[in-house]
Amino acid sequence: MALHVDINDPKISIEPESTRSVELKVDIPEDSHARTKDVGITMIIKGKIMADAGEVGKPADSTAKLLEWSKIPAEKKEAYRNVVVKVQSGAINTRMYQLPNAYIVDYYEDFNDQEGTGLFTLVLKQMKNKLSGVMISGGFTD
Amino acid sequence: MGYRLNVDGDSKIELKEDALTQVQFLSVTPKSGNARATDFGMGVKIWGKINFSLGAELEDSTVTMANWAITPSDQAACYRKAVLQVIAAGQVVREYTFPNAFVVGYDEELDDENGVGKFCLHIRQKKDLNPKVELKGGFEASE
Repeated sequence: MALHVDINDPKISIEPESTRSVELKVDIPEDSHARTKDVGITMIIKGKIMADAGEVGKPADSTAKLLEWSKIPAEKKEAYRNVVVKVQSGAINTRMYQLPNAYIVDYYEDFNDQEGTGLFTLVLKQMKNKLSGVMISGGFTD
Repeated sequence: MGYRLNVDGDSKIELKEDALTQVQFLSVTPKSGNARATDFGMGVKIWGKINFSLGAELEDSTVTMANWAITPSDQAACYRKAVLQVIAAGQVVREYTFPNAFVVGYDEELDDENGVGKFCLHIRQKKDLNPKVELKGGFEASE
């Protein structure tokens, strides 16, 4: 299973060697009487922060660009980006998620003295007035 | 013990023993009540696997389910009839029928450790139509 994370405008591609998991959550308020308009679509991407043993000064992955994105203020256009995540297994695209107006809710980087690599956690949400732009597909070959 | 889920609609959702792993029926009222509340919700939570079909030969019902979860509230398609069966030893132990179910929460996760993904679907009957919910059980299962 391989996860391809592509973020566009401006572009960030997270290498499949780095990504570990993707989670998509769709929630409406827990106490609702019927289906509501108040829908939240959240995506959580986790992965490794690696070091390149081959060449000093050259990053092994593009995770540092996520950190750059996370500090962009809300006034700027670049705070919202087009995110496409593809999950491939056995030459099949199990899932393709498209969040065309995603913004960062939370971004964490964790390091400890046991793993050898760091761990990033990227929590994204689709802008609420653009929920209709979210696309979920799967079960197709390239 | 196996579980089977059937959801009606333009694009049907059919998930069987090979995909579903766990189910929970919930009948819940507000915790702060002084007496039995009129405001109660009935639904089920269903956990399962996202199995990909080798060669993409079979249609993946979980994609349809994920799209049901993002259907906006102004469309008729967000309410669907859902039937969940719990089957053991040739018998239907439980059959829950929700004629007007909507999605309260949907969660799916895919990672590089398990090989297949997993999902959790939480659906609920539209509250004013609670009397239409049918709970049955103890009859012979079809193959």
